Amino acid sequence: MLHRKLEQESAAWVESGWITADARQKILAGYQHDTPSLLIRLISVIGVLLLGVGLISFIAANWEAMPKLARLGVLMAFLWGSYLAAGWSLGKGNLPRTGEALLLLGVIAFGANIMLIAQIYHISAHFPDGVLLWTTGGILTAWLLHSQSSMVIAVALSLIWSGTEMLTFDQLHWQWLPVFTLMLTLSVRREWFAAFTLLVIAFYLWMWVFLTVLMPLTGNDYAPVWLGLLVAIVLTMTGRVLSNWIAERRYGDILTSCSLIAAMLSGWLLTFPAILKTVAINAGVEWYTAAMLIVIATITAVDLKQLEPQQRSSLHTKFGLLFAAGFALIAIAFLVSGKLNPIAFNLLYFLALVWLIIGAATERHASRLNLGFFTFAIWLTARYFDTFWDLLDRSLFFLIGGALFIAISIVLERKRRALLADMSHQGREQ
Amino acid sequence: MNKRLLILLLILTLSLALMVGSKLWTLKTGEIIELRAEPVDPRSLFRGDYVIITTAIHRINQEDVGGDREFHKNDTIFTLIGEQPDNSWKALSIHHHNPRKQQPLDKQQTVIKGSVSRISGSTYHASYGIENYFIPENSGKEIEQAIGKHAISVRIAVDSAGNAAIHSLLLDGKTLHEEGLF
Repeated sequence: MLHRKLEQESAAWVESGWITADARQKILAGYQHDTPSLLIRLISVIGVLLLGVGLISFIAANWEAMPKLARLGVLMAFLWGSYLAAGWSLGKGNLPRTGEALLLLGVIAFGANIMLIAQIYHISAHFPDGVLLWTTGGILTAWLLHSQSSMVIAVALSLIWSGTEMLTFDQLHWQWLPVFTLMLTLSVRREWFAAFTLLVIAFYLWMWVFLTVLMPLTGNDYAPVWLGLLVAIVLTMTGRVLSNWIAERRYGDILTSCSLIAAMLSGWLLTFPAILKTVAINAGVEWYTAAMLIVIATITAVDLKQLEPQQRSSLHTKFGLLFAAGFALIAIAFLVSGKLNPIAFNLLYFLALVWLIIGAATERHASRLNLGFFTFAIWLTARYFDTFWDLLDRSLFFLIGGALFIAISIVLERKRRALLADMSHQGREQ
Repeated sequence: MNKRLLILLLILTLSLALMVGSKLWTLKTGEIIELRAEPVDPRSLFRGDYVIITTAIHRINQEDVGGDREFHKNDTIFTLIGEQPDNSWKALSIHHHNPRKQQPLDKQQTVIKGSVSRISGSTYHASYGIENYFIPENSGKEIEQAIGKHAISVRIAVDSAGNAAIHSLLLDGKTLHEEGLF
């Protein structure tokens, strides 16, 4: 797919005089191997899965008849076999894709060992400890054998570990944070962008569960959404600053994109008056909101300072400042009165949507533009239901709603496509 | 690569060996006591057939026992248990630290280490790592049907640190399943 796209794009580069026809051929030749490698990876993964399923079925069928020592032998052979096969594939075999898939099988085999040994020896200790041990195996594999897929599975396992501690055992499980930091450090050092993206997503999922467990202690059920929104805004701005500060822009971009999704979705939830009214001020929420406001103001100032003079006077920046001022006013009013105003919050959300769409169009960021239009559509739907559900007759509600949404969707989709086409055209011109 | 792979495999194998070793150590060196059990038969998608074992020492009313107070959910609990004239075992006191280290115990006493899994009123529900007993597939029903009609008990090994491991499952005093070391 990449090769085909490159073929189309590079023809335009030659026409624009960016590269010579000879250079184009060399670039295309360099990417020639890309297509089959995807196929090989797919076949390797399918092969590994089939092997795994076959082995598990065979062992399961004969498991009861085996003495304990034989069971342990089978489990060890599964573990060592997977890792040694991976080692051979990555080394002498020169089969990196297969090796990576076999490492994944090795990590799965380690988990199977933990669970089945617990079964053989009737170990029913605190079961998230088993998931932690499995996570550790995944991290060690990622670290020692430079395997991104093992890191990805370790991130997912760490979430299961911490999530179980929080949801099953009602613990405020901050112990996930050092493990997260370790995984983050490793992923950044190795430039594993897939693992980094998953870590940012994992952070948001963990944070919401953490805040959800924390909040009943203060008797404030929907406050996690508000607190989560504040964190998402902080990290969106941090991502913007990082994109300009560090050489590898992708870290900042990933952080901003994931945080924008988190911010827009948690903000959308709070646009419902019924939810917003339940977010009450109390000791915990108060200091947290005040602290976050100071952090947001500081990062916004840093972000503004690093902008070029042209960017500073742009429409995007003006809308951004308007949004920042509106947000600060709403948050200060919340701290003073203890309530969030639904109309003011919805106006602010609308402002954030405009800022997001203008920013995405200016920075030619297609996925953020799609996010902007998507959140605009779901926000509009929610407000329509909020406003007219009780006011209109049911059949009239659906008739008007249906016609309205078809019309709006056509307009929005046309606008979105026009902007995307414009962005693509500008990209070629530059 | 080969050296790193070998180190990794040794670490993983060692961690699994520790899991097995600690259980074997308890089974080999622990004092064997017999607790009357009330099993049920839930089925788990991941763990095959097993019975959940609940005994008298799993539910501790703090008004009936001595020792420390103020336990919270997930706290470590050391339960001093004593053998009664009818050969049953009963919780005598509960502690935050192993009482064996502070004073010598009587012959009919031992200490079992666990954690507080639930608190309901003045009753602590404790887990000692002996709650699940895995049995051969499809034999769970046999045990379930025995509840109420036959006496089910479990022999456990308790080591000096208070760690416990299931030694055997008994039906009317006769061994139904016994754990070999290997």
